[in-house]
Amino acid sequence: MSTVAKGQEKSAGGGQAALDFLSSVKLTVVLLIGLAATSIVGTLIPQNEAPEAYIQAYGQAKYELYHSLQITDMYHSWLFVGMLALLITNLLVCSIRRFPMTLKAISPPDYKIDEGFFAKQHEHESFHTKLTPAEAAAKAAPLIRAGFSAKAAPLGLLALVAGLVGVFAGLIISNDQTAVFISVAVCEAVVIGVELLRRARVPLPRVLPGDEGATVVAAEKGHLTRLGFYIVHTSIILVVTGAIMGSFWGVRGSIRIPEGQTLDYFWVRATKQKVQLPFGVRLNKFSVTFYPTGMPKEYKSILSVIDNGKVVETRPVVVNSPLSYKGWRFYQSDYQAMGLNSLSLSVQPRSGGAPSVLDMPGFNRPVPLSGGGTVQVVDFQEDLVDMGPALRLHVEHPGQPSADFWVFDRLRDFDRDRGGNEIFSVQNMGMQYASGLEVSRDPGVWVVWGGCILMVMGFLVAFFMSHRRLWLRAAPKGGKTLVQVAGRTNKNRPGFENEFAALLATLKEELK
Amino acid sequence: MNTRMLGAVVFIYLFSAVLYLCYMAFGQNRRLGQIATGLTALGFATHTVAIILRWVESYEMGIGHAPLSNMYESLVFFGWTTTLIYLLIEWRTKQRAIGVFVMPFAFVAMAYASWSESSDIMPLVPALQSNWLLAHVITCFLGYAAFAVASGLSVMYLIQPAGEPARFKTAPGAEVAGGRLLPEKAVLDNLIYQTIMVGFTLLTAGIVTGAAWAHYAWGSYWSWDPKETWSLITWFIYASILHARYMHGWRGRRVAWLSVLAFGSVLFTYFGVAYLLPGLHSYAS
Repeated sequence: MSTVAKGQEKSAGGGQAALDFLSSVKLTVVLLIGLAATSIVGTLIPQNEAPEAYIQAYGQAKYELYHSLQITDMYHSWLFVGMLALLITNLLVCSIRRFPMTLKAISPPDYKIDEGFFAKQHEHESFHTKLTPAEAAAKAAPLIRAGFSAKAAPLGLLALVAGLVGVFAGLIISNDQTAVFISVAVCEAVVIGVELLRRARVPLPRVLPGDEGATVVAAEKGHLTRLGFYIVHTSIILVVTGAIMGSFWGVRGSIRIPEGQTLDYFWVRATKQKVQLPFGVRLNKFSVTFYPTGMPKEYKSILSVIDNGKVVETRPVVVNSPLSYKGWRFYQSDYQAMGLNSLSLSVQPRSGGAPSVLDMPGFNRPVPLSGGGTVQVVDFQEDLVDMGPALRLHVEHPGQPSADFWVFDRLRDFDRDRGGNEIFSVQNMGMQYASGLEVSRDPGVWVVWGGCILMVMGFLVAFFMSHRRLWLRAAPKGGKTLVQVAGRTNKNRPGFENEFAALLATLKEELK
Repeated sequence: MNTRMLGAVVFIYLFSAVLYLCYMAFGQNRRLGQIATGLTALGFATHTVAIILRWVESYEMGIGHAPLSNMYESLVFFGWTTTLIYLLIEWRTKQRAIGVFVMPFAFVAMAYASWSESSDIMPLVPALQSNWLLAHVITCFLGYAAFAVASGLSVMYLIQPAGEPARFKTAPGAEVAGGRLLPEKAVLDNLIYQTIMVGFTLLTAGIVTGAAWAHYAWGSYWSWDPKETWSLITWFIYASILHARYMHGWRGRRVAWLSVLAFGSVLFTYFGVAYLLPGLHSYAS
């Protein structure tokens, strides 16, 4: 019997030790540093490249070593995923084990306090008054309410939180600035309004009889802020859950649609697998515009969604503004010029006069010029010497040597200094394009956003709001009344010291 | 106009750093301290006006966007956020000696921007044309600035000998009683922790807004791009500092060392990734 009992005790002890280890903050720190270290390795060695690329860079032997250690796919390696899983376990076990302590800490304050209690608190002071204990307590209660309880949450911090939430909500609803401003204004009004209403209704702190004829007033604020770290830990679990959902049920790939065509499938880049879409996407038109410097300004695809043979939605898709339909999202990614489909030139006589526009029918088809002679397009380049699309023109004037030169779509003044009879520039170049789109579906993304918003809000609560308690005990002592005041906070003691000092000064003044 | 004003700010910040040093070295004279704070505030006001002017100027050029789009503008903004956070801390703690260890960060950022980066206002390429740009850059750089201040405070902690604090003879007109050269270690330890909490919250918001932006621009909120990964590495390191405080014997000196190390990770996220590692955020390409 005794050996069995001993064995049980030992196994219980082992379980206890395992639990202690799993919930220890030391494990948290080791895992966080470990995750940082493995991530660093992942940024130093390129990830998920073809084997040949590694062999060329590091040699066969090193590649095999890296590959077997999963360094070439660090963020999906057993080491990385294992540490992440252990971190989540650590966080769960720790949160569960600490819960009874937290529950005790957020339960109402104790009124059964004696004279000796006060000296043990962070902030404490005492003074005498001529009032009776009951009178002193009754007079102190509204002062404590005004100077302590009613200022429960700092208004500035609340306004900041409301602003952040407003910005997020606005950006999620629409990428338009007006929507963001309206959303921020609404959030601020609601949060500040609710807080001011709540403050106006803060009840008086409780006044209860204590020991030895004493009267005790106890007040507290922000007791629920002790739950801040649970909010943060929950949010981390949410983000990881969302990411796992995405990796199981999400899919990502790309398509290239020529103008005028409809496609109802896309390609997964990594596996070169074809994925069927439950609807079709048509590219009506693609356009690209440039700044005068030649930098790209906007890539725009006008897309139509065709579901059951009907056009259900048509909208422009530009970078940063994807199309979303039935959980599938289409992002502007790149484009390709397929050729020319219409072309006109602007011709200005060098002697002066208004420019005229010439429609060009195609390659090697001479068009007469108003001042005599002909012009024809002999070549086209999609991107000549990094200056964009260009045409090679051939100009003939009777009795003069013919001229061959380039004109650029984006550089309208390029021909000005050539010195021919006319100055040529591209009036309109109708290009035939194909648009490259990224296609993705990620059912976990809203879980991730929920987790992210919760995390930032959790930090605001866990880091910047504290649980503060205040006690006042008025007891008869030597014909007078001894008033003892004490305060305690779980965070930001310097801030609380000032608050306590201010309240104490008021109490001393009013309870003389 | 804006670049000339920003060039002047470089020197103002240099002088205010020197003045804070004189203030500390010459017996914490109140008058000297007030001049140092006044000069810093003047520099900050000029800095703010210059950023606004640059913003306005971009609209006049027809390519209007917030001045947060390249290395020059981000360095200027980093200098601005660092000075902002420093002034807030000085206002709250009344400890001017901190200026000696923080204002050099603002000066170096501004000087580096003025002398080695092009200050031309450039139009935004399509990928940067997003409202998330503003939210992402503001949160990240306020966070970086808080971490810069935390590392300055950590250096102040670490240069104090383990035993008796550094003292000087109290000069006439001195502000700080007891002739302390630097704030008490317990005060510094608390301040380091507070600034790291501020920085960590902002860094988290910065990573989240960056992920949201990536989601709208590329269809994936996380793609292990080196910049993303390094911001996560920085996040892991600061998270470990926040937890290390709950471990026995890990307050004070060790946390101060960790905070300096972690700021190294911030700097690598900011510069190292941009110049040494390839990726979406690379200014080098």
